Amino acid sequence: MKLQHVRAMIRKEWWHLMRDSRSLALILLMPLMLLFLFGYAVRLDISEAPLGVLQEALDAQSDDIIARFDASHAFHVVARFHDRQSLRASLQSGQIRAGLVVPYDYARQLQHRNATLQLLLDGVDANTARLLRNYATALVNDYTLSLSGNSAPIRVKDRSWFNEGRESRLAIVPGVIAVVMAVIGALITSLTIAREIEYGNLVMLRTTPLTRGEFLLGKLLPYILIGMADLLLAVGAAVYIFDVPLRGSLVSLTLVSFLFVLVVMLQGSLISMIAGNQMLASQISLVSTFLPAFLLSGFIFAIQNMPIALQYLTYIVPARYYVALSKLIFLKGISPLLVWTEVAALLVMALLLARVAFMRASRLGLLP
Amino acid sequence: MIGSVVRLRALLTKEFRHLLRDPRMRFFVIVPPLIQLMVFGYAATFDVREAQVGVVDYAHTFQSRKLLSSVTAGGHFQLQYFDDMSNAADAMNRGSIQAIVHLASEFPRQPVVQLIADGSDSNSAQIVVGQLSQIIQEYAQQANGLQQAVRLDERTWYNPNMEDREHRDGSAGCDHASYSHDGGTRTRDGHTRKTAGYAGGAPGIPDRQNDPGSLHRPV
Repeated sequence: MKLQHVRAMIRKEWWHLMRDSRSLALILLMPLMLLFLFGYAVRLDISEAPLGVLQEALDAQSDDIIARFDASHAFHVVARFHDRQSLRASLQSGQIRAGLVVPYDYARQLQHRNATLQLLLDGVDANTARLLRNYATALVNDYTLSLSGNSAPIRVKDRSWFNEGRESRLAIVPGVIAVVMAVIGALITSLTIAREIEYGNLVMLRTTPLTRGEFLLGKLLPYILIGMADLLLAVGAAVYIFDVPLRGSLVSLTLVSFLFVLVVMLQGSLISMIAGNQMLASQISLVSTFLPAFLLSGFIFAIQNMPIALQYLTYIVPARYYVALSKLIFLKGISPLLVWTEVAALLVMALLLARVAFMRASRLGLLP
Repeated sequence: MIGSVVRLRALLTKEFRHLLRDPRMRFFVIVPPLIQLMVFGYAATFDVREAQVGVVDYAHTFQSRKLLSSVTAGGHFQLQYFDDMSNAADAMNRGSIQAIVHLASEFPRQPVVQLIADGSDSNSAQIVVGQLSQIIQEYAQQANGLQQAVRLDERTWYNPNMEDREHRDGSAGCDHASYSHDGGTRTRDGHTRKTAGYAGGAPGIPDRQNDPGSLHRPV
C-alpha cells in the first residue's frame, strides 16, 4: 500500500464531495435537521394531560379532590360533564385522555373512610395510560394521608440518578445522536462506490496502479472526517441547544464516536459494493440502519423490555453499543472502560466489516 | 374517457413490470415492510418486564424481608442483593440494574425506604418508581392494618391491560382481563369492588371491559 496512492484517491474523493454542493449541504445539514426533529418530537413526558371530570354532587369534598387533580402537573381539567354519555364520547374522540368520576355519595363515603373515585383512562396509548395511572394513584395516596393527618406507615423517598427530573429529553437526545450518525454515515458512504460503478468511473480506476485496499481507504477517509465533523456538530447542539449535560469527557466520547462512525461507514461501503447502483444502495442503507438504530438500539425502547429473541437480535446492531456508551458518557459521566465489552463489540464489528469489505472489493476488478 | 383508461392501464402495466422485474427490487418491496411490521410490533414496547432491582438491605429484619418479598410477589421485579451502596451504584452505572431499593439499618423504627431509579432511561424509571412505590405503600397499609380511605378505581378503556401490543396467546375472556401486566390492579387489599353501578363501558367495546368484576377480581 502506497501512501501516495491513498492521497491521490482521497484528493479525488474530496473534489467529488466539494463539487457536489447539494450533497455537501445534505451531509452537513441533515444531521442537525434530524437531531432537531427527533429531539423535539420524541417526548415521553406527560404534562397537563387533558382530564374530563364528572362531578355528581357539588360539595366541598368533591371540589377538593378535583382541585388536587387540576393542580398536579400531570393533569389539567379541560372539561366538566354532567352525564356519562358525554364523558364517554369525549374520551372516545380523544378530546380528553382521562376521565375522573366523583360519585354523588363521595362525601358520605369519605366520612366512613371508604370512598371510591373512578378514573377512566384511554388505553390506546398504553404508555401514557400507565404513567397517568401512576400519577393518579400517587396523588390519591397523598390525599388520603393528608386527610387522616397521620404520616405514611412507610415513607418512600424516590429519586432518579443521572436524570433527576426524569425528563425524557435527557435520555433521548444522546441516543438520537447515534441514530442520526448511523443513518447519515451509512447513507453517504453507500452512495460513493455505487456511483463509481454506475458512472463507469471504475473502468478508469482499473487502469491505474491503485490497489483495492488503497481504493477503500481513500474512499473512506474523507467521509470519516466529515462524519466526525457532523458528530461534533450534533454533540454541540445536544449540549448547547438541548441542555443535555456532558458529564463524561469529550475525549472519550470522541474516541468512541470515531469507532462507531468507522463501523457504520464500513457498513455503508459494503452495502455500496453489494448493491451496485445508488438507488438500491440508499434503500438498503436506510432500511438496514434507520430501523435497527431506531428500534433495536435501546434509544427509546429499552432493550431489556423486548422479547428475548429480539434482545439477541440487538447484538448485531452497532447502534446498540453506541447508544449505551453515549448515554453512559453524557449522563452517567463514567469512563467507557467500565463497560469495555461495548467498546470491544464495536471494535470487533469494525475489524470484521473491514475484512468483509476488503474481500468483497476484490470483485471490483482493481489490483489486489 | 375510454382512451385515458386504456392509457392508464398501459402505464400501470409498465410500472409494475419495472418494479417487479428486478429481483432485488422485488425483495425490497415485499420483505422489509414485513420485517418492519414484526420488529415494530415486538420491539416498540414500553412495557417494563422483569425489571432488575438492586437491594441494599442494611436492616436485615423480619419486616424488611417481608417488604422485599412483597416486591417480588407480583412477578414484575427480580431482586439482586448487594452488600453495600457502592456495589449497587456500580451495578447501576454499568446498567445491570434499573433501580435500587435501599433500606437503612433503622428500617422498621424509621419507616423510610429509599428508591433510586436509573434516569438514563426516563420512561422505565417513571414506571418502575411508580410501581415500586405503589407496592411498598400497599404493603405498609396491609402490615399496619390500615384501609385506604379513598381508593382509585381505575379502568382503562380500549386496552384493559395497558399493553403496547395485544397478547393473542392467552385465552380470551376473564383470564385475560384479570391478569394485569404491571401490578397496578393487583390486590388492592383483596377487596371486591362495590362500584358495579357506575362502571359505564363505552359502546362498541367488548363486554368484559364493561364488567367491573372481571377487571378487579381479587387475586
